Amino acid sequence: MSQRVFVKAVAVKQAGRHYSKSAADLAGEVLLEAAMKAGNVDLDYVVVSSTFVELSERQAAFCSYLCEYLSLEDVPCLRVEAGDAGLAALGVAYRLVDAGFRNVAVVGVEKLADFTTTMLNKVLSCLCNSTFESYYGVVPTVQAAFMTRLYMERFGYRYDDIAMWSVRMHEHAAENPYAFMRRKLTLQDILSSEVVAEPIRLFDVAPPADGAACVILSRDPSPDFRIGVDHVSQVSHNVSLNLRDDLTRLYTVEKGRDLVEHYKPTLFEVSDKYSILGILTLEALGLAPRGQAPKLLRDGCFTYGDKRCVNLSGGLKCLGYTGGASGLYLFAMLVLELLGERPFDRAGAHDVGLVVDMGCVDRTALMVVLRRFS
Amino acid sequence: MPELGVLPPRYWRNVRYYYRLEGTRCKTCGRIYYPPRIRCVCGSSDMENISLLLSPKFVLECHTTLHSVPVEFEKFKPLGFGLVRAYLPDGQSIRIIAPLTDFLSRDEYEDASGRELEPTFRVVMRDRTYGLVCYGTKFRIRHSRV
Ligand SMILES: [Zn+2]
Repeated sequence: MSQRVFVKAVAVKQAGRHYSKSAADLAGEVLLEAAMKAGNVDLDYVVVSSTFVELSERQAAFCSYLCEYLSLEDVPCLRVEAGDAGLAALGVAYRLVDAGFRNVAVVGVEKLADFTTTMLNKVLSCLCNSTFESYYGVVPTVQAAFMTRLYMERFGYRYDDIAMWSVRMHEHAAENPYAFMRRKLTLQDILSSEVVAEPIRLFDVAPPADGAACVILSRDPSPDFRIGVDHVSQVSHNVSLNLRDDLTRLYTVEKGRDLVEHYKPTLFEVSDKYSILGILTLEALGLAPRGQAPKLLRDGCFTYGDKRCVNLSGGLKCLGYTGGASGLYLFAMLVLELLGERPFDRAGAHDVGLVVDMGCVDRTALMVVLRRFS
Repeated sequence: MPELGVLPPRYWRNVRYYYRLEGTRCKTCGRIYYPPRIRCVCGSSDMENISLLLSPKFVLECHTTLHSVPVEFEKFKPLGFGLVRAYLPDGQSIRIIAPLTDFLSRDEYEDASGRELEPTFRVVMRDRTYGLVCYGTKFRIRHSRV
């Protein structure tokens, strides 16, 4: 066993509209659940991930007030923010464990259902450049709309082909008890959903929700949670979309191709805030040739029965978009898949998986390789 | 934060971007940037401001219409946005994300890609807290004049 950092426990709150719960309630709930599953270990650090907590809770130093709420009076804590790439916090926790801290909790939390739709659009627009984009009303959906349109034009796809991503995610989520959206959707449902930003429709967008997820990393392997962290890395491309030559590429995620070749993961959980980002991620990682991902999805690849399965959880499309918590949901789902928990046991035994989390639209990507050991 | 509204000093500081589309050009290697930078990828910090508004030609490369908009844009919805290529006098070109206005008939708008645009000075939104009216540069399809 070459790993030095292990997953001791994960806990996930099904995303949704949790109007009666505050961010501290949701985060506290998953943190306590994870700590209990980990054998009530003493925590040496709490690392919080939340992109919008200042906006939703009007609270700075949220990490400290959260720890007080849980009577973790003397536990050092901080919040890590890299847009909505929640796994940036996990990356910091990984380094802390590697540096000698025994048990570190990473908790992601977001309260997006409290906002009205137009307020939420304002909040999400903060992920774009405030002076050059969001000043005019640009939101990430606009950026994804450009990418979708250019991808369709370049590779000769129709909107139905892009919608295959969403169909697949809903197929997967129908059996996932942790998913926010568990209804199976037909192509017709998607084609008749409202247009958000041509050509993007409502069902191409991961639905914003309240949620929280917690991971406890440890120096000690857990007898129940036989999962180790093989690798954590962050790739950034700090370049505005308008300056990029090719908007049908994910400049950050394509660096993960080396990880795919080296670690040979067979399970993947990837950020799909928009259908196009899921599709482009398949191509960026080399799981599909350029321009072929929608075709392969239509042919039935990347699902149960294939040698490489992508987003058996239903992805963010169905888990819900929970800002800085999203990546931790993907991480937790991959852990459950590697452990063969129901309903993921249908996929058979897999040893290595890759999580890809994304901050903003392709400004940063966090990639984590997990391995099951016996 | 949304309910804090537009901060007047910040607005006035950014007027050169909103009104004149200011970017920067590296005096060492000639690269141009929008958004502006104070240091070029070539390593030089010798940058000059340039106004993209003075570009003789703008072409629409890709566009979308946003139907679900941020709160202060409700009165203006839907919002049109384009990837617009600005051709500078020095022969270089740069792509920007810019708001579109004066939508024509839906059909004309649908196949607007490749059309030439012209900049126009418009209200962007009215701030809800202090009532500050915020202006900026939007683009519309350029029609040849007789
Ligand atoms: Zn230069």
